[in-house]
Amino acid sequence: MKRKLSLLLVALLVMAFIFSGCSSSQEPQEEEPPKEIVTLRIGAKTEPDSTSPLIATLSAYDIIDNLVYDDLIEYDDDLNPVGSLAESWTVSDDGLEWTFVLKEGIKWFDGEDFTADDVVWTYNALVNGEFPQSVQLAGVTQAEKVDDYTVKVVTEAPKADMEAARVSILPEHIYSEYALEELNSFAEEFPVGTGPFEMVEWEPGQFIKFKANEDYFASAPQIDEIVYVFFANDDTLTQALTVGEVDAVTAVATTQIDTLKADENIEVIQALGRNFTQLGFNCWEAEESLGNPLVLDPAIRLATDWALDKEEIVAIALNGLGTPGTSLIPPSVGEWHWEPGEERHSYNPEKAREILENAGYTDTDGDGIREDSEGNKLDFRFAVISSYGEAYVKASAIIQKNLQDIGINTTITLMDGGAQSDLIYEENFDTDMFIWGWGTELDPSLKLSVLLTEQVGKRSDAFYSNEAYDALYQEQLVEVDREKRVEIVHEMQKIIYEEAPYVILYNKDSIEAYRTDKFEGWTRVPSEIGTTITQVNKSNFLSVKPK
Amino acid sequence: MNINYVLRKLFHSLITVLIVITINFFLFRIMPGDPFAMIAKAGNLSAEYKESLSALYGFDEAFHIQYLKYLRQLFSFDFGLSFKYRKPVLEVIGNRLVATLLLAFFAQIFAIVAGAVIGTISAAFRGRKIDVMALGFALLVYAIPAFWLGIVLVLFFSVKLGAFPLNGMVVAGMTHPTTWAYVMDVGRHLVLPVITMGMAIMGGYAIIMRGSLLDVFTEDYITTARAKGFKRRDIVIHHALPNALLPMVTVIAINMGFMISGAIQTETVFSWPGIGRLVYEALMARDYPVLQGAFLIISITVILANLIADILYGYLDPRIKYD
Repeated sequence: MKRKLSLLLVALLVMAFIFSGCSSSQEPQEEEPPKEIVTLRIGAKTEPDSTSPLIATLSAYDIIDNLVYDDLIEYDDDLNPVGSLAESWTVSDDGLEWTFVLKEGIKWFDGEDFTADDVVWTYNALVNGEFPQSVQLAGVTQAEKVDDYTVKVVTEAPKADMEAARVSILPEHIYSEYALEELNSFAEEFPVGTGPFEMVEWEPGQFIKFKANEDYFASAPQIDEIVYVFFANDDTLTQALTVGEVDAVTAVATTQIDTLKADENIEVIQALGRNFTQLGFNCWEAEESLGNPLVLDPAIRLATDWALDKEEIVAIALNGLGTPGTSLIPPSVGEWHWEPGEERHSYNPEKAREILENAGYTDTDGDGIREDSEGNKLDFRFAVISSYGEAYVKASAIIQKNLQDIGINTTITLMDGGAQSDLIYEENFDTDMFIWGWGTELDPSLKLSVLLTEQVGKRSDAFYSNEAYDALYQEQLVEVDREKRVEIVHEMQKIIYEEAPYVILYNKDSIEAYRTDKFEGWTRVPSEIGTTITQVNKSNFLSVKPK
Repeated sequence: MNINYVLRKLFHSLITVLIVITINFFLFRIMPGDPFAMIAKAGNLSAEYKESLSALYGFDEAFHIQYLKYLRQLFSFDFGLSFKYRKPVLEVIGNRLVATLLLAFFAQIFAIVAGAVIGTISAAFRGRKIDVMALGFALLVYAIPAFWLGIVLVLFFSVKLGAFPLNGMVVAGMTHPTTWAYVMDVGRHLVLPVITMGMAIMGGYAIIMRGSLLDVFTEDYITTARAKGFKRRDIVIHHALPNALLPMVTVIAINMGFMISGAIQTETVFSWPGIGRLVYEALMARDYPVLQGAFLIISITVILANLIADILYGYLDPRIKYD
């Protein structure tokens, strides 16, 4: 009997070795090269969803995009537009034709020349198809080849954010073999780009490896490899940095920040984040909306803004790693942000009660909850996503307490992100309030567009509608004069601030950390105040070098 | 052993697989949420684009046609296209399943050996201090959550001692000169996750082993052996143990299913690239094709484990006759 059992065990063991043999046979069996390879290891939490910019929607995809691909125009370290694949560019007097002169002598990883064909194919694919980056080229009619190194881009109306368009130029000689529909499911295993690093290995759930492109047209990288290592939890991610298994991390367990700061070989970066988290209201005016009609009254939403102790929300929900929020466009994107002056809605329950009183909401039956003139109670359903970590849940508890103080009752329902999407988009907006967040771009257009009437049922999650706001949006889209455009963008934020379809709760800081004992030359973008690893340009990956 | 018995068990398993496949198909078509929004990853879609996506995923066909197609695809090992990754599901699941099987297999071995040893010692010294200690230890580790134990092991062995790596399956990005170097690398990465996962189930095994042995001790042949003057050690190891192992087979088979799907805690602590994490991520992204494929594969693993246990049982214990 015992022998039978042990035979079985041996059989299973053999099976296990066959399994491990399977995986190992995929490994390249090369001899170790004599030269020491300098590898920068970066620990991150989320993995890209694809290698193709025509498929990927997760922001983690930027890991690949930033290293492998180039745009026509990129941002310099002070966030000013600067030519990347484009040598120079001009715009016609009527603002409808952009002419890009391309740099010559750039080669794709596979040795083909980079030419105008690549740019024309990429731009036209995005314009004619529907891909994640298509929104960057909103308003573009088509791209035309003038000669091998000149491209003309035609727009319907002047396009104010043309220089800010983030479009990864793809190799026409590879992509043009596919029809546009096929590109919904086609992704190169190892994308062919023009960038400073070439992707050479991806073990799903584990890591992505990049090799330096010695011939990168801007300047050769000073390290040989970058390996992004993916972690399933913050704690081990942070520990891995402490023990030196990785050289940098793009997230840190909040409880361990002080420990890291105390380590003399570790530098912790705390940068203003390009994001906001909002308390959103169901502003849908349509018949079929299942929201409580009372939240359609801006007075109630505005009172909420005055009632919230955002300092406490930041302290508790974010462990202090953020800034209380004000307007739609966060302070981290510079002059586009509008900061309320005297009209700032700072924590003031007294003022909030006053607004509600003046709007006719009083507590007549003495149960602590206000009613309107017809006796409808200010009693709202509050959807809170619990699957994005603890911040939303903690914030919702404070919001509930703050609102109770001014006579508004809320009933919190915890759910996962998908369930909340369903409530809003599938079930006729069957809730009154919710917490959600957005990442923001350096150009304000995309985030401003979220609250447009035309986005109701689409990108909008408040289903807000305001004609004046819509008109200003169209105006800023075509306003090529930057100063004037800034003014309009500020005006739009002011409307949202006073109408409060979103009450901006906070802007979350971006936390990164890196080791200083093995590498030097780390660059922050924007200089001094920005992040190092997660960047809008490639500066850090070109400047970082072994110590 | 009766060949009819094996065939009948095989037939039952096949029926079960077929039912699972059918439930799997319908379950994911009545799930909430607009599949297009999930596929397109955005709500903002033109009719044309919807059509092309619809064709890509075959939603434009009638229900029964979709079902038949689904069956046909399954038999050619085509599990469809992931919403999130836009890659064939089998490609997405492939290595993840291997990683989990590897982890689960060694965790089982660890748990079986440690559980049997502790259970045997406990039973042999029933009622004495050593029994109380062994049983107490078994119950304690049984009650410890895997993620907590995992973090503690990481802090001690990886951070303090630097003895074992703390994440992943291999050193990320490393090129292994030989297959042996690769196996060793995986082995080093396996130690802590295997202990974490093994501990959680070891306790249960120890308790069952102890109970089963105590039962066997009351059998006549043990009394006979004792009367013959065998040493106590011999009686326990040679007479009692082989018979007491039988109930373990059932428990281990049942546990196999749990091991594949329940590895998620261990996988999360150690960033092990297994199927538990994949299923969780797919659930959050509502990647129905991946979920569907993973559920099917997990179900088949469980059914297979049970089939093997059934057959093994009939083999190990000739008294058992099913007819």
